[in-house]
Parts: sequence; structure tokens; C-alpha cells
Amino acid sequence: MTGAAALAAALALALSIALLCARRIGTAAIICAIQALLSAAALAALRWQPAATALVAFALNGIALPLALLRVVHRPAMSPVIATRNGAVGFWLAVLMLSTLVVAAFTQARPSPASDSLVLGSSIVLLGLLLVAQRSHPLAPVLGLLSSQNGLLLVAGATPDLPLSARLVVILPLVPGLILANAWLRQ
Amino acid sequence: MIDPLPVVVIALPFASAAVLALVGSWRIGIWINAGSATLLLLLAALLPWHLHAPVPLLHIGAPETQLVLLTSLVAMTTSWFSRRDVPASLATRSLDRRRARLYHAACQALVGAILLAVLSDNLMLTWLALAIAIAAAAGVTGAVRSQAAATAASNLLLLCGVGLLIALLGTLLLHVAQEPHAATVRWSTLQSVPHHLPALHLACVFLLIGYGALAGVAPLHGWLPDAAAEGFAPGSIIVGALMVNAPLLVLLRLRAALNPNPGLPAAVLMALGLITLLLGACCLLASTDMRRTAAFAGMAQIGMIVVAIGIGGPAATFAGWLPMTLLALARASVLQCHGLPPTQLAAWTRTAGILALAILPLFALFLLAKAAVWLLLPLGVGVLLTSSALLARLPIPLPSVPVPRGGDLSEIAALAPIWLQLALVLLLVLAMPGPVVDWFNATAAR
Repeated sequence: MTGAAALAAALALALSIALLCARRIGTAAIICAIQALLSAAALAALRWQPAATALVAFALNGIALPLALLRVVHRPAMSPVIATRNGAVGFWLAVLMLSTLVVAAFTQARPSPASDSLVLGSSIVLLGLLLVAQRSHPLAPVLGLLSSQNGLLLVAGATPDLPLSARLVVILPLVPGLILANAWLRQ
Repeated sequence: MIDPLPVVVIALPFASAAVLALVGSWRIGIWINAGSATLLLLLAALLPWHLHAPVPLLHIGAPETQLVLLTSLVAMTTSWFSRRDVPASLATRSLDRRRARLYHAACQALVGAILLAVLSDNLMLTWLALAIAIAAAAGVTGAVRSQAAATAASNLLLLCGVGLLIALLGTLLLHVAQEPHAATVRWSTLQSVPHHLPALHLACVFLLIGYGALAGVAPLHGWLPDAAAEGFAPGSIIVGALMVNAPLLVLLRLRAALNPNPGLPAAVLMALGLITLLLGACCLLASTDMRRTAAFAGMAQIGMIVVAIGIGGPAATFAGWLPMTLLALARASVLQCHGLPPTQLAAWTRTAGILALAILPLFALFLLAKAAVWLLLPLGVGVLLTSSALLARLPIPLPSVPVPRGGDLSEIAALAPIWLQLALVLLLVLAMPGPVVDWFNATAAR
């Protein structure tokens, strides 16, 4: 794994933590967009082929979905503040437990040239899912799943010889897109 | 030379969905839906003569063919059942023309996606097919005009979406686990390809939790009772009785790939299965609504099937795979009784359906011989609770209660598909023909 890719992936993980602390849905959407940019940068640094897929991933995860999310947020019925479902202590304990589990599991798993990206990506996926479970805002699932999608991009970048069809499946934010479309239609 | 039959079987529901999305009349939509489902069953009936046919990206094995037959049969009976239910819902204004069109198109797309997920040999294609199935299932569930149905559809999308993302992470990790790295990971070669064991176990844990969510396995099971109870009645049959089978096949394939070192993933499977069985049984005790009762009974059964897959080996897999087939038929029969006129014939049919659901947990007795000692108590408690709760809810039509005798031609036509399904359950439980036994043995030996 190159130094640039490692730095981008580590920053993306730091943004996952920032996302968990975000209080306003607009701020969280911007954090998700920056995280998508960092994930795409890590993919480019990992020399993902074809290089255009990293650009497409950023266009979808970093521009299209956050913009659509912001449009839904600006509707009058939608609260701009994200409430926490459970207490802060339990929440941070869950973060700590997840991080420990990921590191412990991956030190057992197969070492590969890009295993750092694999560990960082998997951590981002799980922290995104934690956001889905911990926040009670109707759009929190979209944010959490979008962040998880960014983590999956890093995992895919670290997976050797991934076929083009699989790369295309990973760069499409199908699940967060579906949840957002549902939230849009229900409003 | 490519065999065209499996491709036609998958393409037909998708083509019908496209046509149904364009057809404005709900009356024509009903007939296209029923005609397409009947044609699909006829084509699927030819599939056993095309086992292991060479088709790129597809694998036509014994369990896959069995699930295609089961899916197309229940889809056919449900499409004929919705001939009665769609006009009734339009009359009560719980459906309108636009929603009826959405239901018909989503229903066919859902069946097509289930068939693609079952027959696909490529892990990514299976994932993509199940993602399409989830989207279509949300459309089918939310087709009816009610807040509860919309909430059920949102729950389904959210919980199954989380499951899909976890499964995608597991699929990527499975690529990493292969030694040497292969361009594609196939279900048909998963057992024979060497893997790095700790990496394989890690990937399998994610895959089991992810696809488990789509099968209604705890802890991401919450969508299943809501979708079955609040969604549009015919749609909830396809979602509750059929959609869960494709991820269960994935669990079976993964368990086979783990032999001879099942390790942590097998333990995870058994633990998740037990939790699902006990949770389903406890919820069943508190349930009063018939559709929710059928959903919780199904959930408990799914838990038992997952325990059987986790135990592994031909006998346990047989004891899990057969109830899975029977469960789909029995649950569809109970749900198709919903909304029938209150005649004696209909009441007896409903009673027979619930009785069929109540006897299914007894298949767990075959598991007890193979199960570890620590499994015996929770498995036995779960089975007893499920069966007794269902038997306690058995609606026996007493002669003292004045109900119309029924039996006119239209009622018999409405009940005939249910009787067909219940007759199949009876045949498979009491007098399974030799070739069918061989067929199930071939599946269990995988």
C-alpha cells in the first residue's frame, strides 16, 4: 500500500469518527462527501484499473447522493438535527469494541500487500452501520450506509484481481440510494 | 452450446414486469400476471431434465432446481389468488390503479430476481439479484395504501439494506481469502478452491450475518413479521414465503464450502439459528393476528433450518432442507386463506394449513441425534413452544357455530391452489416418492 493511499484511508476513518459526532444532518452530508473524495483518492493511489471508476465512485458517493440528501433535508418537515438513540457511554463503548474486533479479526486473517486498506475500510463499514443503529433521524440510515459504501470502496481497492463487474457493483451506491429514494417518496 | 431454458426461466418474469409496468389497465394486468406465472411453472417443470446444463454465470444443480420449482409453483398459486384480492382491495380503496400496476410489476420483478439469485453461479450476481429482490419486495409490501404498510416497506429496505452491505463486505473478503487469487468466485467451485482458513472464516461470518438478515434470521429479522402482516396480502406471500429461501440457499452453499473445518462460522450459524427459533416461538405465544402468527411460525422454522445447516452433514441438511420446502408451501397456504368468505370449507382449509405449520417443527427430532449436547435443551424448548403455540391457535370450525356450508364453483376455484399446496405437503410428509427422496439426498450430500 502506498503512503498516499494509507494517508487517505486513515483520514477517511477519522472522518467516520467525526460523522459519529456530527449533530446537524447538513454537516454530516458534507463529511460523507469529503470521505468519498478521500476513498476515491485512495483508490487512485492504489492504481485501481480502470482509473475512471474512482472518478465515477466520487461522482456518485461524493456529489450526487450528498446533494440529493441535502435537498431532502431542506424540506420543511425534516428536522436538521440528528438525535442520539442511546446514551453516549454505550455508544463510545460500542465504537471501542468494534475497533478492537476489527483489528483482532484482521490480524488473524490473511496478510496482503494492501491489508492496511482492508482493515481501515472494514472499520469504516462497521462504524457506518453503528451510525445507522445509534441515530434516530429518518435520514441517518442514508448517512451511515453512504459512509459504509465509502469503506467498501477501500476494501475493494485492497482486494487483488477483483473483476470489473464486481468493481462496478461496489462503486454503485445501490443500497443508500434505495433508502434515500424511499425517504424522498415517503415525504 | 448454451442451454436456453434456464435463461428463459429467468428472463420471463423480468419481461412480464416490464410489460406490466406499461399496461395501465389493472384487469389486463391481473391476467398477464397469472398467465406469466403459469407459463413460468410449465417452463420450470422442464428444468430437472436440464441439470448441470452449460450456461455462463448460472449453475443448475439439484437444490437450485428445487427452489426454482417451489418459487414458480407458489408464484403461480399467488397470482391466481391475487385475481380475487386485487379487485377486492380496489373496491375498499386500499389499492388504486397506479398501486395495482406497481404491485403487478414489482411482483414479477421479485420472482425474477429470486430465480436469478438462486440460479446464479457468481457471488456478485447473487448479491445484485438479491438487491433487486429487496427493492421489488419493498414495492410489493408498500403497494397497499396504509401508514403501517409504508413503515413495513421502509423497515424491510433498511434492515435488508444493512444485511446487503455486510454481505458485500463478506463477498469482497472471500475474494481475498482465495489462494491463489481468482478473477471470479463461483458457488460451484467454492468447495474445491483452496482458501486461507482464517480469512475464509472471517468472510463467512460477514456473509452469514448479511445474508441471514435477508432470510429473517436474528438480529436483523424485524422486517419479516411487519412485511408479512402489514403488506398487501398476495405480495406478503411472495416476500415472506419465497424471498427468504434464496439467502438460505446461500447459507447452505457457504456451510458446504467450510467443510471439513467449519470452525467459528458454523458456531455462529447455530447460535443465530437458536436465537431466531426461540425468539420466533416466544413472539408466537403473544401473537393474535393470523398473518403475524404465520410470520412468527415461519421465523421459528427458519431458525431451525439455520441450526440444521450449521450442524452440517447429510442427515442434518436433509432435516433442514425438507422443512424449508414444506414451510414455503404451508405458509403460502395459510396466507392465501386470508380474506376468504367465512364458509365451512374455507375454515377447514385454514385449519389444515395451520396444522401443517404446527407439525413442521417436529422435523427437528431428526436433528437431535446429530446435535451437540448443549443444543438439545434450547432446540427442544423452541420446537415444543412453536408447535404448542400453533396448535393452541388452531381454528376448529365447530358444528354448533352457524356458518354457510359453501362449496359453490367459485369458492372451489379459489381454494383449489391452496389444496394443491397442502396435498404436496401431505405427500412429502407421509409418502415421499422414491425419486424425490433421492433428489433430497442429492441436495443434502453437497
